[in-house]
Amino acid sequence: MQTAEAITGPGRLARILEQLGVAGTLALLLMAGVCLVAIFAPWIAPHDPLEVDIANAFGPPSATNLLGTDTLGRDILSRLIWGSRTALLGPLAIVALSGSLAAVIALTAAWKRGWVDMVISRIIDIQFAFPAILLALLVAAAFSSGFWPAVVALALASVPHKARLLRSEALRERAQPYIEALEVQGMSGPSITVRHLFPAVWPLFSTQLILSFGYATIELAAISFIGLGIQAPTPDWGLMVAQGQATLIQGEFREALSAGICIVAVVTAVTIIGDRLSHNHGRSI
Amino acid sequence: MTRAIAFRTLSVASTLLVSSFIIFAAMHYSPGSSLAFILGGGENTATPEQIALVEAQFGLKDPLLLRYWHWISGVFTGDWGRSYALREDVWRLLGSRLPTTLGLIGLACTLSIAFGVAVGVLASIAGRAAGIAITIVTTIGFATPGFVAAIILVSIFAVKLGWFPALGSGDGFANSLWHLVLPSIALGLTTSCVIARITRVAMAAELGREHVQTAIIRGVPKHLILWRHVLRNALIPIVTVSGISAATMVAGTVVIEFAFGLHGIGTLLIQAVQQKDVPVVQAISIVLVGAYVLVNFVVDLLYLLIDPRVRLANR
Repeated sequence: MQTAEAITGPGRLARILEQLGVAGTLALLLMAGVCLVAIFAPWIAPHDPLEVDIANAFGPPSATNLLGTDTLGRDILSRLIWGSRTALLGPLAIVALSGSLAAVIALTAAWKRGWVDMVISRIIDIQFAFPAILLALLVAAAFSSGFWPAVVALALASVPHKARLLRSEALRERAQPYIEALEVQGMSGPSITVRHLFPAVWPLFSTQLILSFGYATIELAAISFIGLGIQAPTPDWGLMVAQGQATLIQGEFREALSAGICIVAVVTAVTIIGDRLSHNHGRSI
Repeated sequence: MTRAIAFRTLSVASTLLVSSFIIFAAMHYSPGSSLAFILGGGENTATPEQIALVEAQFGLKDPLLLRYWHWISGVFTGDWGRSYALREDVWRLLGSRLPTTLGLIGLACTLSIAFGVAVGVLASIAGRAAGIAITIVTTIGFATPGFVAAIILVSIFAVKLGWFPALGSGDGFANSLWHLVLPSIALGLTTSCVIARITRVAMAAELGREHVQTAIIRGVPKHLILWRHVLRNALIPIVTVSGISAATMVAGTVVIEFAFGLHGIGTLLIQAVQQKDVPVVQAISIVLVGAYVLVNFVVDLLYLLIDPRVRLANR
């Protein structure tokens, strides 16, 4: 019941803003702005992000091309605006996928305890051995490179961190007397888990999900940067840094730098929001 | 204590064994055919005899477990197979590439710990304004991916100022080291910001403790208090975080080597992934996973040795 109100209640919003402080509120506004830009990209972007105009390559900033043009004469600003879509959707998909997997795994382990918990914990330990970038490279080698393989690989790689925290949190909650009382009353395991255990651990878990959005942004952009994620000519910030890097030596730094700033801005904002929210749990995540 | 160490050693060994099997199996079942690559795209013109010969030579038709057994026993005896693409011994390839990667990680660790601890200590004793400035810089630095740091460093220090080379590994010791400066700053940036934050928090906690307050009241010189009583006690969390960060650098090196065109195992891995050069992908993956797991293991052990509370609480 508490969660239903938590999402919609107006008092809750004021409390969240208070927790966020000035920096956190600014970060939230920035993220809201980026979301709007991503949604309305077709209307905001002054040019077609894919429109090639070789004659106008490396054009300087002007009234028609506010940030200038890239190697192929494409408008950098329009590519940045369109690039916000993959920059938000990719990490969102990673967080959603890894979050749901981690929730199922961790809550099962916490509810069943005993040997189920032991097996799951061991699997989590082994998964910990694969750094995210390496797992993404392996998936690219074994299957193919692209947006979805990278998303799935990075999601799998971030499951163990989430599952480990959620499991220990759920185990603690599981030991509370009210859970036992519900059990005695004859409520089934799955429904206690869904209706009581999960809502109880949700505040901490959701904060962790926000923080992991930042890591996912960096990792997905890095995979695209090394050429195994999102493929050209799709406008994507990580890809733009890679393309701009090739012309850096000639002093053409606008494309790489502007895309890099976008990535840093989003990750900084998300990290500040997550940090501020995690302070009220009084525990590092 | 001995039991705890034995338990962890066993767990690390089994983790490595299982992950090596996962790596091998993933590449075994991958859809792209190794055969096509070995024949250099000539699989349509190759005679059945030629195909059979190649299959026998590389053991492509053997069952998974048998191939895994051949591979893993080779790993232990120094026979890591031959690269499909470069037609070279994988062990020798790794040997020629490893120094660059190790140099990069080593320099990045050194720089980021030195810089992080210095900034953290400074932030804990500096005034309010300086403290806020340092917080802002470390927050943004933490959120800056290595490859973005790379393009910023290159455009300022290589292109504009010309102090450092922009690309490549260089030859000779001094020159190679020179080529590693910018890459190691890019690789260590996130870590140094994390260490700066942790140092600051740990220093602040120690500064507020009773024995430190007593020392201040008794008039012990400030630098002595900082060094003997504060920093030393604050070192435990700093060491732990540094260790964990070193482990993440093992993975981060792949992207940074690519960004700076360094000839380390990271760029070799990316190249091998693009060419489906299975033996090289397997070898580098197991090296990276092994290094990552071992560094984490060592940090665990150090933690066990340094902090008696952890030592006693553990099985």
